[in-house]
Amino acid sequence: MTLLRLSLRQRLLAGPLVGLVLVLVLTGTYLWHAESSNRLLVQLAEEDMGLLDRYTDLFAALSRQHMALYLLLYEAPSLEEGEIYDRGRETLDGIHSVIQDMRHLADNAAASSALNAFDEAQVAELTKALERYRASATSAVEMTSVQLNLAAGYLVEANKHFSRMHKNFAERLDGVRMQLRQQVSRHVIDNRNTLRGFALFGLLIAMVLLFFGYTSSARLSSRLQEQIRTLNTLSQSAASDEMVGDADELDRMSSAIEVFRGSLRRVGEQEQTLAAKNVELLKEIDVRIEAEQALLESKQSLEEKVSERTEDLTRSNRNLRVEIDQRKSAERRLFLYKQVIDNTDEAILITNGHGRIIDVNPAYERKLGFERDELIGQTAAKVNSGLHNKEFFARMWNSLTSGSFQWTGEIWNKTKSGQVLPFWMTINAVLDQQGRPAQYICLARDISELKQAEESLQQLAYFDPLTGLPNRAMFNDRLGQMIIAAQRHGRKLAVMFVDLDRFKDVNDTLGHSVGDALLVQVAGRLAKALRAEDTVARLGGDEFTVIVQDIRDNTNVVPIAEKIIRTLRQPFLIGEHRVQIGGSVGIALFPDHGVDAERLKKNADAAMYQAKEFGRNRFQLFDAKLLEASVQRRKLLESLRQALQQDGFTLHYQPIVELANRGVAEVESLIRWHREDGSWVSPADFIPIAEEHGMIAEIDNWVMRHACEFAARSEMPLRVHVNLSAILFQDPTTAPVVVEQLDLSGLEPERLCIEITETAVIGDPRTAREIVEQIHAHGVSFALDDFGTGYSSLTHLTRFPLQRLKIDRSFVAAMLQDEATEAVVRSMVQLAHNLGMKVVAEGVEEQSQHEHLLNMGCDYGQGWYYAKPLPEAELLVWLADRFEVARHRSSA
Amino acid sequence: MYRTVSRLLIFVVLPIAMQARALADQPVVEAVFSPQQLVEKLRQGGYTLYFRHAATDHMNDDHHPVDLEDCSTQRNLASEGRADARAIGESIARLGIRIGDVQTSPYCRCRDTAQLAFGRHQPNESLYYAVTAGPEERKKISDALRAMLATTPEAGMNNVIVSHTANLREASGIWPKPEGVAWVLQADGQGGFRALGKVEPDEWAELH
Repeated sequence: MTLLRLSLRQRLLAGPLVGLVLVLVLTGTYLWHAESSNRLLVQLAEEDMGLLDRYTDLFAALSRQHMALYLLLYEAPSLEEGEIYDRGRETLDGIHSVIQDMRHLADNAAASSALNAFDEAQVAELTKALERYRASATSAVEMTSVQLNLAAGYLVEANKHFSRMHKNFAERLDGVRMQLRQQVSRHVIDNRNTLRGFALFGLLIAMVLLFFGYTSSARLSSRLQEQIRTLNTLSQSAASDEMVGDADELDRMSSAIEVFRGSLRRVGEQEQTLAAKNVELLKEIDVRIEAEQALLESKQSLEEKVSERTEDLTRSNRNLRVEIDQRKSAERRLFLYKQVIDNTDEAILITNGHGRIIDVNPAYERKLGFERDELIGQTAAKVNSGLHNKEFFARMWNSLTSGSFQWTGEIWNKTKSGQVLPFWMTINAVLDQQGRPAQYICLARDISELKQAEESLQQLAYFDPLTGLPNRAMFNDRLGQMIIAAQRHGRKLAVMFVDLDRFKDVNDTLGHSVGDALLVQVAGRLAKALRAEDTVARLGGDEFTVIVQDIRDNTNVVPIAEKIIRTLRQPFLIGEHRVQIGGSVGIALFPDHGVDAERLKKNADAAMYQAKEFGRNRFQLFDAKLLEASVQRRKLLESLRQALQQDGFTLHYQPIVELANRGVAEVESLIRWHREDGSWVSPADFIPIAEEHGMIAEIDNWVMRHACEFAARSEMPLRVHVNLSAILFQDPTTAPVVVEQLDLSGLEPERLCIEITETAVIGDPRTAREIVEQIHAHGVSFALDDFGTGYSSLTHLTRFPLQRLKIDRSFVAAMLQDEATEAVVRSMVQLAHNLGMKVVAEGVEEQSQHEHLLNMGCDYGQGWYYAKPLPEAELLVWLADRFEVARHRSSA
Repeated sequence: MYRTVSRLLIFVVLPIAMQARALADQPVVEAVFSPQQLVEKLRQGGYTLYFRHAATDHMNDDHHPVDLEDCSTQRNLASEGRADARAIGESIARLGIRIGDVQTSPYCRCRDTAQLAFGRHQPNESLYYAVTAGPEERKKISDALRAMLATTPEAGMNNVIVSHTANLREASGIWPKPEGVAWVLQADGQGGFRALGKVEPDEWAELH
């Protein structure tokens, strides 16, 4: 606080000084304010009021002039015109000067005081009015000197202007006076307020100053008193003199100071004694310093030793830390391994070098059912299943105590509950420093599930999943074994191949689930029909095999074969279907028909095929000759398949001749198979085989396609006949396929005729009819082939849309020799015509036949008499020739 | 004492002062000749003819302020006045009085008067009607007119001034009356002039 740095006097003076300054300031401000307000009032009085006075004076002057004007007019009659003019001129001059003064006043007023008597607009208006007045006054004067009697009018006008002006002016003046009065009063009030303000402010300052003065002096005096009091107390402690209580504070202060003086004297004496003592002390200090030196030296040596020790400690500390880290990481690893051992699924057993169990893991406990405590100290014998012999364990022990010190293998253990489980075990020996086993670590994996899987696999490998019968593999196995057994005991055995007849039909018509169920039932029946020591196996599809062992000769076999056939012939009930099949059985005997499994199987298979060929639903003993046939057949089948794939077929076309005019508009397509070795295979030979092996649809499609293409590209509008096998009319895709072939080839449907045999309708007449009708709806015509030879009923004729009837060749051949046949043929023709069909006679070979048929009314003929089936090129040549001949004949 | 002095002032001094003033405006020499004598003098030339404009229509007075371009704001010649002006002009021509400058006040009545009488005129701003002017301007006009009147025209010619009552009154104290009167003035060669007489408008016709 800068304030404290000032001297006491200055501080005490500060207050009054400040007060004085403030008062002066206040007075000055007040005086100035009073002065300014005075000035204002003066201005008001002099300037503004003065201005008002001047305005009023001017107006008075104007009035005087106005009166002069009136006077002039009144006196004019008695005056000379010149005189009138002179006086009038004076008045006008007076008015002029008033106007000048007015203008002058207004200009000045605008420049000077704040209080304008008139504002600019008012002044301008007044001046204008004055001018108007002057104008009319001038006119009045003028007229007074020109034509007196007219002057009065102008004077009146002037008067009007004047009074208006006068009124205006008076009003204005009043207004201004009012304004001034207001201003003055306002000013007075302001003044009063300001004065009051000043007074208040002055009072405030005075109070502040008083307060300030009081506080500062109070503070000062209090401090002073304090000092005095302190001094007094000090002095009282220093001297025993009592103070006079009534004495003034300052007196007390001075007496206290006296006391202090005495004390000071005493202090001086004491100082002297102290000085002497000081010298003694100094001597002692020197002694002490020496001692200190010695101490310092010993301290230094100590410090050196300490730092050495510290270094050692730090080093060993570091080593310890490293060791700790290593221990820690080892611990962590151990912990990790423990986790692994505790959580693994493998059963782990640890024994000492003598085979005593020292630890097991939780998996072991779980698998074997024993608790850890129950096993520790025991040997592995605790879990011995008893299934392994001494040699097994001896081998194990050997393996563990020498060589690789390791054993791996399958071992069966018994759990606490008595259950015996297979384990895959790996035992490793942990060797000590001498190379002797100190511990054995045994890992065992429960492979019971694995074993079960193995078993099922075995099952799968050897048994047919659908029927449960042994499969081909097992069969082969067994056969091999049984052959050996039979050889050893000098007995015979029989191998039978059983093929289900018409199984394919069932599968196709009733579906695979029914087919499967049928197979299962067949398996059951076969098993029942045989002895326990015989084997029934399913080779696949609908092929079953039987091994009958311990037989002496053929005669034992036949009853069994017959039994099989009988049991298979019985109808099967599958769901709501009643299925009728049959079985074809082929038998081959050991050692008659072969001494090894392969031969026996092949011969039995061949025998089976023979059985099939001989009509099915029968058994057939192997015949060497038959083998040849079957081999042939198989070869044929193979080449048939090839031919189908490689387009080995061709179509020949046989003309169908219209008997009446020998015209040819239709040809029948016949498939021909020209084999690579040059031989021809007749359709009669390969078609049945194709039908048997499900290849007929493909062949028929092939025929259809090529026949349609041929007809489409032939220049003559031929209709082509195509033979379709009966099977196709059980297949709902037949109709779309036919239509597709027509579309692809572009052949008009009307130029296609499909030949079907009577057997086509035997299967399921309804389906067949639907298909025929579907195809017929597109415009394709149908012919009934080989009429008279099939198992047809005449109702079929009426139910199917047929356009042609083909009389079988057998009838045509016998026609001329046998009356009955001839009658039949005649009636066939009649029948066909009655039903709206045309008749074609097949197999016409002689002129006489041709003539006879013509007489009977038969429409068409087909046969060697007209032409044999020809390949396309030759057919076209043949047709051209005939055309030539015909033309020639007609022209001739 | 006071009463005596004031009575003296009012009844003695004041009238004298007024008369003095009146006298101050009178021309230096005033000789009055008859119209016929004036005509013979005029025929010799060297005089100035101051015409007051011819008779006007007294029903309308000038607008104050007046628009000198627009005669409708002024008191114009009556038909009588126009006839008088023509007649005066014819008479002057018949009498063989030769006219030099014709200067007129810019007021229509003066111009028309001159034009009708002499067929030509020259408007002069300083001949503006004095009654409408303020004191300073009026003095100027009066001085200008005095100067004009103190100018001797060309030998054998007479100058013509057509103006107003007030102007002549200011310049010479003469009040030209009636309308159309012509005062004959002569410059005295010393910067002044004297008035010789007047001819009233209907007197011209009888002069020879």
